[in-house]
Amino acid sequence: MSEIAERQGHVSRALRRPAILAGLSVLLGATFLFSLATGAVPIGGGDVLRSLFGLDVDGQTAAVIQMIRLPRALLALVVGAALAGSGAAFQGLFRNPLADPSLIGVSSGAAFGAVVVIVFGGLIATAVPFLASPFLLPFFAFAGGIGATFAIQGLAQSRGQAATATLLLAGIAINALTWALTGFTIYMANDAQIRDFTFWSMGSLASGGWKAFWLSAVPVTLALGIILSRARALDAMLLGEREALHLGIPVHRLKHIVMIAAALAVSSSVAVSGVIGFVGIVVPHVVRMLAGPDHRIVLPGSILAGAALLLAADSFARIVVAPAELPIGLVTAAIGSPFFLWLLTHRKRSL
Amino acid sequence: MIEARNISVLVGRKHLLDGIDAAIVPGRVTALIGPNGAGKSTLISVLAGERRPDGGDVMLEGTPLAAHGGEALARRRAVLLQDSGLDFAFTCEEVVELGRLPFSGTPQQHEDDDAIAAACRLAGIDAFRHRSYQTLSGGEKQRVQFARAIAQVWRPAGKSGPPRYLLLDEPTSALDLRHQRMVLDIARRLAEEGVGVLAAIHDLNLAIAYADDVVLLRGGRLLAAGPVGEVMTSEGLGACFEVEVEILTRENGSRAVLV
Repeated sequence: MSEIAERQGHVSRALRRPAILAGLSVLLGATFLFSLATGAVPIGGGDVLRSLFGLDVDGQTAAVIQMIRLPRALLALVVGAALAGSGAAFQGLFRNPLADPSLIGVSSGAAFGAVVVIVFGGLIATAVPFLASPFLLPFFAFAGGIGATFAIQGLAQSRGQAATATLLLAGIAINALTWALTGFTIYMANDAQIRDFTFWSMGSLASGGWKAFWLSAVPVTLALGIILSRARALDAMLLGEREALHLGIPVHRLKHIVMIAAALAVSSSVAVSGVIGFVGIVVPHVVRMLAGPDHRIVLPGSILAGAALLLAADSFARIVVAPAELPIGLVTAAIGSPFFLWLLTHRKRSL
Repeated sequence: MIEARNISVLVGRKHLLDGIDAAIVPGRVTALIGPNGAGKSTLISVLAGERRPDGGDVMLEGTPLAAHGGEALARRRAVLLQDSGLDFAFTCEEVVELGRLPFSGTPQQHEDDDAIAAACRLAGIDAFRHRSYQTLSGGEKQRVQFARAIAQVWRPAGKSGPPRYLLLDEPTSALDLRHQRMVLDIARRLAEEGVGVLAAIHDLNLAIAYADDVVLLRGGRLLAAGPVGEVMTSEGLGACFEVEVEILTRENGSRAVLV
């Protein structure tokens, strides 16, 4: 390549970044509106906008938008942003582009915490009354998620890098362990609890309403804010932990802060929507292919694109078997697992 | 001056370093020489402030190195490690740019572009500055990492400030002859601008040609330290490497090591 051509390539990559973020924002807006317009009762785009801005629409339309579709769309947005943003953070931290929260066991750790509350919540609340609150399940999910995060770090990372094989094997082990514990818990559950668990575990944005949105939006916003503020430090981490240390990054503290924040984002989303896989690996990878690995774009880009992907997947889940709906975890797995296999086969060298 | 006093590093009951005194002096190039397993990399990590010694002190301008914050330290010394892996597709320029990270939010931040440009030019990587790091050969990668270290200690000509240090762990291991010389020429030039340079060097002829001082290690112990002419003798090197060594001196005063 001639130098001029290289320079143009360089300039276009620098210029492309704001354009990519703008494009992803537009995509997010479009999927958001589409999601509001989609459902058992078709609502036109004009009515959606009018209803959003509090303008005059008929009562039923306003109720459908305000009470059902808006909280659900916002929940999809929060969950998608949380999964993709934390996926990008884990990948930077482990220096491995295959570190997806569901593959490495963080999601199933959070799921175990949640199941404990689904099954034993009544007992816990009786024994320790001040714990009986809507925060009980998210809190246990967070405990499970953070436990799995530190376990995977301890198991998979050596000399600052998680080799792909070790990372995935440790992920299998942690997933197996947490699902065994979950299974054991389910074994002790009654029929109603098992039904609750089954639908929750396949991933669903249906049940929540505004309560689920607020329960997840607050911790996820906090966690993603923390992760975004560490973008440059994560860039330095890609060079290697020792290299980052010599660049003045407080590596130890950074790892703990980012792991806790990412685990908080994942478990907050798991608590309200169950395990939704592969968003955390597909989205950051696509953003990196478009814009390079700089976390100043990978993190915000993944957050926007993850939200858009989950909104689209949720709309699809509601359309395809209407008036019933698919669990959204099945939709993302159907998109994500072939992508993951493709990624794995194209990275054979570094396994 | 970065000064190590009576440094010991233990792994279990084995001494990686045992009672080492060494110094990096501003304006001088110090070569760290010794056979494999002598403790060269360990000593570099101690002097860089990365590894706390189990015994002894490391001082920077007379105060303990550990008392300087990580970021403040990073504004004054850069470290080039062996085989830095990078699995993500940064361009070379983006890698070099990371060398300026310690200066973000400081008054020196506006010097970033000049530092990056100077580092890329010095390290001879201008031609592939915008290429993906992953597409480079091993030697090219090493030069990009070297440029990153230069960018970290770079300072505009004539500007004064506290002494700077450059620690290089086998900076020439993946390089061809011409680039080995180029890297050490740059190290020399930085030393002339006042940077204290420490380089672990395998090639004795490069060491004798470029170093002012030599630290000779063997099995974690200090065999000798001092000006190159006093330390790099046939007896000293012979004892260190257990081979017969002859030092040849040409009429112009330049020396070579014959093994």
